[in-house]
Amino acid sequence: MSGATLSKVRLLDRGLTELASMLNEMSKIAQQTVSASIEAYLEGGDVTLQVRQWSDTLLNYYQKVGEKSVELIARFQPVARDLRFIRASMEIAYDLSRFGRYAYDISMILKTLGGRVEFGRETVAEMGKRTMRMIEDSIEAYRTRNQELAERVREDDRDVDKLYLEHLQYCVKNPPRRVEQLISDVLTVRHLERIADHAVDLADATLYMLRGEYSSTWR
Amino acid sequence: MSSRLKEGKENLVERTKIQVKDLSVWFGSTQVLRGVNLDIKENRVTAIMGPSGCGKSTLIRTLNRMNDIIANCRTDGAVLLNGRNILDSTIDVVELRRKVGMVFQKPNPFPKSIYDNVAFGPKIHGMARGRELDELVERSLRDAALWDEVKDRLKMSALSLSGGQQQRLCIARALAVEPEVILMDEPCSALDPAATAKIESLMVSLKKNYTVVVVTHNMQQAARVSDFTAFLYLGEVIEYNDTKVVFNNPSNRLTEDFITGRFG
Ligand SMILES: Nc1ncnc2c1ncn2[C@@H]1O[C@H](COP(=O)(O)OP(=O)(O)O)[C@@H](O)[C@H]1O
Ligand SMILES: [Mg+2]
Repeated sequence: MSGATLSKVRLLDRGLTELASMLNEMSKIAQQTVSASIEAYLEGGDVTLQVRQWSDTLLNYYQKVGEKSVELIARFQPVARDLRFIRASMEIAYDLSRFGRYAYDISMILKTLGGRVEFGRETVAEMGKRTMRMIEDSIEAYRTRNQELAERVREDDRDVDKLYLEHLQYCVKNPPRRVEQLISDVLTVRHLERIADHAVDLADATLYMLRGEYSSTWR
Repeated sequence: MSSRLKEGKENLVERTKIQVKDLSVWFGSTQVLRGVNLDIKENRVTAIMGPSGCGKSTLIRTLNRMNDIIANCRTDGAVLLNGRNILDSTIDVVELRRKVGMVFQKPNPFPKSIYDNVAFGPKIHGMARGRELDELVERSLRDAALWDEVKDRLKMSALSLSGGQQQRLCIARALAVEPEVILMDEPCSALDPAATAKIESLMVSLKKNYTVVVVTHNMQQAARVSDFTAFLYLGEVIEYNDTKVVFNNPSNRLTEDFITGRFG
């Protein structure tokens, strides 16, 4: 009987490593992009150019991840966990690029609507903090293949949704005198809520990669 | 079997054609199959894959008692075809092999004409003669997707055909005796990619009328053509499931390592 040789060298592994390192690079950029835009909203400072640049880099990476994935599929016809890793990578790259895009939208708000916003600052700060943590956790869950942490991201999203809806109701009851403050505030929390959703998508892609199936929850 | 089986419309009713029960096979004192259980579904393509030497050929050869001709071979367990144990000593082996045909790795046509190759089985089984036989030959060649290529040279030697055509001729020969099950043991391993693609598409079309069992060491082939896949390792069925499940999310680590090329 021919002996099974374990840990065979696989050409595919090189490509998979390349994908993983692109995602790793994207993760770092995505985190700094979102955090820079939230900080600028709260503390002031124009980061639009920098954020735009990072966001473009993320978009570029997203496309490269797609190209690499298609190449690996065409060349190696990967299956099982290799194939799931590739699919998850494409989806995660998309989520990471969306973080950049929403961060850019946040950074543009003050530029378009004028200076510092006093209205709703605590909520933006709180939602910003939670959203950032969800991003970090979702990335960490992917990196360390941690299902529990990925599940936690889903749970945290419920809190963010709740904060968001409560805040909208608060806005209706206590609108600020200056309408641009209201618009800035509402757009920002809306973008944060969307960012949190993408963190959940990212966590879901990780769970899919590990479990082989998507748990379907509508958000 | 997984509940996913019920997903597809095609899979609404799965009927078992061959049931392998606790099958063990020895060659002399060496045990080659170890308590194999397998439900082979009617009108489906079932692929058996696994590293070389794991017992794939032995398993498939048990399904029409081809191992009988090996002197030191001993078999234990049961193989039910349409519910009847074919390992039973009272079974008519000639009739069994008519019902369960076999196509081998290397195309092995007789050194006779194309026509005679296909007509051979029906003749010895006394199934048809004259016009009827001509029709049976034509139908078999059509079912084997070879008719158009050979209809003008039926009297030529089968050995003048290409490798891929010879293999389809062997399939036509197997079909000519109107079997219920077609067994194929690595039917494409001696063929080029184009001929392989033809045999693969043939396997899929054959399942309309037959139950197909194919042994292959080509994982992508199993993924392409089969409805169910069994992974055999050291004489045991490690995993048996819907092919879609096996190649997306196998439940056994060994299967996963094998199909992703981590060993084998
Ligand atoms: N006629 C035989 N006599 C003794 N050993 C055999 C015989 N045929 C096969 N074997 C052994 O049985 C094992 C399984 O063989 P086989 O079924 O041909 O494997 P596979 O088709 O998966 O490559 C191998 O170790 C092989 O050497
Ligand atoms: Mg073999």
